[in-house]
Amino acid sequence: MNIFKLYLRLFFKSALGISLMYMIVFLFVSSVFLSSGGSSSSTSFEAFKCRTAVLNNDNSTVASELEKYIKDNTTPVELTSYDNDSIKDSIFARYVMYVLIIPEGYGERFATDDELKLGVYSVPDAASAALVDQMVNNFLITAELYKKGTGEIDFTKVRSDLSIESDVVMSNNYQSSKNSVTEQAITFMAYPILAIVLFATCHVIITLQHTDIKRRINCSPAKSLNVSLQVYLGAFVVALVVFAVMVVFMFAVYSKDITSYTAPFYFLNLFVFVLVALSIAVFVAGFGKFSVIMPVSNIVSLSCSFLGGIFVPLELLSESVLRIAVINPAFWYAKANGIISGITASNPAVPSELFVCIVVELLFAVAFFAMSLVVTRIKRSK
Amino acid sequence: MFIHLFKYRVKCMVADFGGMFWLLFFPLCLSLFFYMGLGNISESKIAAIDAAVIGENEEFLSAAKESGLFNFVDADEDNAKKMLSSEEVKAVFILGDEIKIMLSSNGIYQSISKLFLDTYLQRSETVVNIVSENPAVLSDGFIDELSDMHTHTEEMPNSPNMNFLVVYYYGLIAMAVIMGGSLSLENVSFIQANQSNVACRFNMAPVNKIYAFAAMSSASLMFHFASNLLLIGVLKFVFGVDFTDKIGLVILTVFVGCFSGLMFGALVGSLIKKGEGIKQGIIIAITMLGAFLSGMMSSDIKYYVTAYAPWLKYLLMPELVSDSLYVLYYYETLDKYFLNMGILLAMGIVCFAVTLIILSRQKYKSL
Repeated sequence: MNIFKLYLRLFFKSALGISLMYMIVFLFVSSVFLSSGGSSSSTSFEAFKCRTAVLNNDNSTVASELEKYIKDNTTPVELTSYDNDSIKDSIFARYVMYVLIIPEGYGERFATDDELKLGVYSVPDAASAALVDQMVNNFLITAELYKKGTGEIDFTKVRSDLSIESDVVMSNNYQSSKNSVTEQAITFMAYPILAIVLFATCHVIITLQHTDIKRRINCSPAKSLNVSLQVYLGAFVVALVVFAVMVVFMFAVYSKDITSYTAPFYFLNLFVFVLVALSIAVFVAGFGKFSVIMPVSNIVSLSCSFLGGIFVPLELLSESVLRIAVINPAFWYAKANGIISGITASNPAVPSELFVCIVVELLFAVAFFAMSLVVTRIKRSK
Repeated sequence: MFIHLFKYRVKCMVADFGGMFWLLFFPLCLSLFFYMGLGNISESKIAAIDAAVIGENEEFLSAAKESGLFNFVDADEDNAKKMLSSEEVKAVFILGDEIKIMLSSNGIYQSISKLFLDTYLQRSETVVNIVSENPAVLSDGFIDELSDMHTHTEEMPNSPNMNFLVVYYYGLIAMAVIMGGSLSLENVSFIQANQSNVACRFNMAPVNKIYAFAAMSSASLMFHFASNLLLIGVLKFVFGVDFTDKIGLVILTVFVGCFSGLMFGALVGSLIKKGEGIKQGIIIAITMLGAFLSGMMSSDIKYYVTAYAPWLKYLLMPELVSDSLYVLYYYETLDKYFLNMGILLAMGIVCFAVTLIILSRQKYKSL
């Protein structure tokens, strides 16, 4: 097992640093994912809650009641500053979709001929901003009606009226959430796996192909098949470690969201994708020179991730990209994760489509591995 | 001699596959991935919501049609449910003595549909309450006022340029521009005799080092600026990235960014005596950190920097380049732009001055 040991020594010496860097970046981005929200498993309708900020410059009852109503029915956001540029920046970045400015003296002049208007900053024509605008006007029109109809605004009645909700009938195929944060984060694991496995495997295999090392191995009594198997074993062990780290991370961070129904399938899908990454790496290493490892591993991992639904959910990719994506193994990995996330305690049946995705991934792995053997054979014959 | 050094430096850069890849092909590939991956992302816009109706309720239907919120599709009960399942309609209103809404998923259009029905029911309740409390309102024209309710909000003036996806492309340009520092790293290593064999030979020739540095830096600046102009051209004309009509200022930003990036690389190359890998690592680390903070990997990050650590963007060159492009796109005034440009140019000049001092003071006892 000298070649195998040499493989691991080379990995620790030259590829561990970059691999750790990818891992740290992955952990950081995943923590950003986690902080961005949680998944929904509710079976009843959940109204969309737009990110909204309210700047209340008035201390009247109508202003404070409006502020409370809006904060209760949206996702309230506090801005670090409410100057014009800060509000504009927050709207542009979609940190907040709707900023309501209640001017000083609004309450005094409410429902009079001299009424002040509420200032609104929002993303033009955005449906979410229109939703909040509808809420704001609904509250104020209700208050105005009471003032005009009874001479005073009884906010208890306003609140009581506005608490009336229509009955929602859910259709049989109701879907509460198409993309949970957990599913996205597990799907995102494909990128560090591709990047690490590609870089590490290519780097070590190309080092082993150095003329001096190759000659030294060739003059040893080890058979060529045995040497190849030890190299592949080394690459597999490194990939297995990457897989194990990912699984530990998955359990440590997403244990609440991964149920006993989904866990085995997430692991299976991840493991198969590690095999795919390994086969791509072995194939790329067959061509390799040191100067092209970083460029090629970056381009392959980024292209697979961008165009395969790893960075951007499949639902958001255009039709033309999706048509090309079928020849991208990352697409099948992401698609399989989407199917797995739909397996729940109430619907534990495993769709056959999931196995189709996994088999397609395996076929990709076999195809790349076969091509790498062909490349090696051609190189040897030369 | 200047022309000779200039020409050979250009030849070296063109022949260097690694340099060409990272400075030209990698940004182009990344912009293609951005275009293909992010091209279909858009906001849910205000539009008439396709909805179906089961049953009869003239009052509700006329209110719904008057609102202009819905585009009603004729369908019987079975068809309406099928259309809801296939998402041909977002909501089905079940009319009768009690009005209900049928939905098949959560979403913004579903929420608007439900809010409309809630508002209709709430308004009915409000009118009933008011009339029961004060029946005289019926003769005061109160009912007429109901249909004459005005909105209480007004939109504040804001820029029409609201496509937040441009931040990704601006971050990419910032990365490409400042990454040019690696070219200057080579320039310095070709001149400083303690850094390469080429430099040892070079120092034997009767050429002033500052003169040689100027010639090589000019070649690098020309090459780097040209490659970034190509990137801007591809982004604008192939991928349709919006640079507004201030394209002249965009090109100025790229030029100043290229100059400052190159001078930053020269400073790192002359100041640090370690191996080339470490110096390249420093340039890549600072460039990628700046590109990350400027929103190349997530547009949210740019906002967090602006909101919580605005001083940070004045320390990192990629942030300054990206923010200048953002200001040109989003803001109508140019004061922030010129502040950014001034700081970026000052950084470049300081790096240039320090590099000159270091280069001119180095003498070798033997080579």
